[in-house]
Amino acid sequence: MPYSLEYSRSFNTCLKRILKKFPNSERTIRKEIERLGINPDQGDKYPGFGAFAVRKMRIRLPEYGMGKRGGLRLIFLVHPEKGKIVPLILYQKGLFPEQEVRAAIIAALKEIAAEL
Amino acid sequence: METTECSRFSGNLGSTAAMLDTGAGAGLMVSIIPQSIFRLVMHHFQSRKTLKIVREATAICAEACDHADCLKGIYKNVSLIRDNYLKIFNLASRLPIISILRPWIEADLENWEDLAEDCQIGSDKDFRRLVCQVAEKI
Repeated sequence: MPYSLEYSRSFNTCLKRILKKFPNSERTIRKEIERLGINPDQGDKYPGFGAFAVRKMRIRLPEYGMGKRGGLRLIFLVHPEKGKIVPLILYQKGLFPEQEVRAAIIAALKEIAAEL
Repeated sequence: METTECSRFSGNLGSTAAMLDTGAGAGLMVSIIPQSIFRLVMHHFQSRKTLKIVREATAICAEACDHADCLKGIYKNVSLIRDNYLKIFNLASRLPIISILRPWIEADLENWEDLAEDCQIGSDKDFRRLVCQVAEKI
């Protein structure tokens, strides 16, 4: 059953920032995100969330010669009971040191939780 | 099992990284090139096998539990593997013969970087709490 994608303001801001940096990959990036609605079982799953799933997917940017290393990472939530997928954060791999990735993800989640 | 596999692979990879580092530093690369290439090829296949075991174990765990202690448990070894791959990747760019294996080394490094990141984020209490909040509210 297809899922509906629920975009938060926070994620849209994040997406806009990435598209500004990689304008030639807009079609690729949007297509990869939209595809989740039909096939949400992509990427690796974080353990222990029970009824819903949290996954991380790699997005290549062939337009910029980027394979999956140095490409993008998309973390998203899949809620089968509600039939919804919520993209949480999209970031460029390797741009931040380890601790800053965590901080960016936590900040994005706080914004999304506050917005809903 | 995944902890044992990670630990074993971490040890093997660490000794290869040390060997390459010492050899490069002392200008002894010619004498260790055949052994280095053999070890790096073996590590590539070991890496794939170990990653598969770890990912499958965490996927099973994902269905069955409501915590992520498995990720915390393997993080130390995973980050050591990632650090050693990074060392080898940087050395490979300086050593012409070894550099033919660079694409494999880079692919393996990418996989372990991702897993290290997943271990850290997936076991983070704030991450887990906030994701659950978002899930409740949608």
